[in-house]
Amino acid sequence: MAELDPHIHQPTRLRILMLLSGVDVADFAFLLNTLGLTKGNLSSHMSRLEEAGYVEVTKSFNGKVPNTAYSLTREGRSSLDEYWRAIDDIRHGAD
Amino acid sequence: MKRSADSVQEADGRVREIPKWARRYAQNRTLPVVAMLVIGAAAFCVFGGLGLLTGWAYVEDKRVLAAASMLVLCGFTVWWVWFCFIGFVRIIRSITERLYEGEGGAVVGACAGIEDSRGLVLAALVLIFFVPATLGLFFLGLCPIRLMQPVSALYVVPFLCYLGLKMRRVGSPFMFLWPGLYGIHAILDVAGVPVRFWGDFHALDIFAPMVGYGLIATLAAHIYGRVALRRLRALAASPESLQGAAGQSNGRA
Repeated sequence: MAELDPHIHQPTRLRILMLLSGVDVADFAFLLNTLGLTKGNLSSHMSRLEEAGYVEVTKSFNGKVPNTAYSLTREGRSSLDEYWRAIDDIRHGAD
Repeated sequence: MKRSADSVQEADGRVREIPKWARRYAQNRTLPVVAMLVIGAAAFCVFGGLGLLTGWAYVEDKRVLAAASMLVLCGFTVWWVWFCFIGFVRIIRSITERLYEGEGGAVVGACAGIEDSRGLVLAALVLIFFVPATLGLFFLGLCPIRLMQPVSALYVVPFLCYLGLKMRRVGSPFMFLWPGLYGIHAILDVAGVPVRFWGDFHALDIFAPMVGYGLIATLAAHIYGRVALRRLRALAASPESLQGAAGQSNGRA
C-alpha cells in the first residue's frame, strides 16, 4: 500500500500546493484571498510547507509595502506528483 | 460506502482542477495591457493633434501659433522618450498593483518565452523596417493610400501572431484575437466593406483597428480572467474556511 505524505495529505496544504503548481509565483495576499483563510492559519501552513522544503519564500518590498511571494520547489512538485500517484494506487487497489 | 467513495473522488477531481484555473487566471490578468494601450492611444492623439495644429497654423500663416505648437510638440516628444524609458514601467507597475490589490499577485512564467529574446528582437527589427518602408510606398505614390491598413496587416498580423506564440505560456490565448481581428478587418477592407476612415486622417486606418482590436482582445481576456478567478475560488476554498463560515452561521443561529 502506497504511503501518503502527511505534509501534503492535509486538505488546505494540498490546495496551497495545487495552487502553486498552476502558477510560477503567488504572493501571500493571493493565497489568502483565494483560499479564504485567516492570516495566522495560512502562515502556519506555509511555515510547514517551507520546513518540508516544498515551497520557496521570497520576501521583498513593493515601495514601502512588504511582499511575501511563494513558489513550488522542484522537491515540492515531485512530492505532489508522487502524492497523486499514491492516491490513484489506493483508489485502484480499492476498486 | 459507494456514495462516500464517489464524493471523495469528486472532491479529488475538483482539487486536481485547481492548477488549470490558477494558470488561466494568471494568464488573463491583462489590465496592464489595457493601461498600456490607453496610454499609447492618448500619446498618439497628443502627437497627432499637435502635428495637425502645427501644420494648420503654418498653412494659415499664423507663425506664432505654429512656433508655439512646434515647441510644445518637441517638449512632449522629449517627455515621451523619458516616459518610455523610465516612467512607463513604473506607472504600469503601480497601476497593476492598484488594480489587483484586492486579489494579490499570481504570475505564470515570469520570464518564460522571453528568455531567448533574439527572435523577438529580430521580429521587432523587421517591423521597424516595414513601417517606414510601407509609408514610403504610400508617400511616393507606388501604392494607393486606401490600402494602408491591408498592407500593414501583411506584417502586423505575423508579428502579433509570433509575439503570441512566443509568449503563449505567459500570455492569454485571447490575445490571438488581436491579429485575427486585424487580419479580418484588412480582408473586409480589400473586399470593399466600408470599414475605413476617410478624409485626411489616413493614419486612423491603421491606428483605430490596432488599438481597438487590442482593447477588445485584452478586455475579453480580462473578462475570462474574472470567470477563472471565480471558478478558482470555488475550487480552492479551504475546508477550514468553509468550516469557519459554517461555525459562524451556526453561532449566529
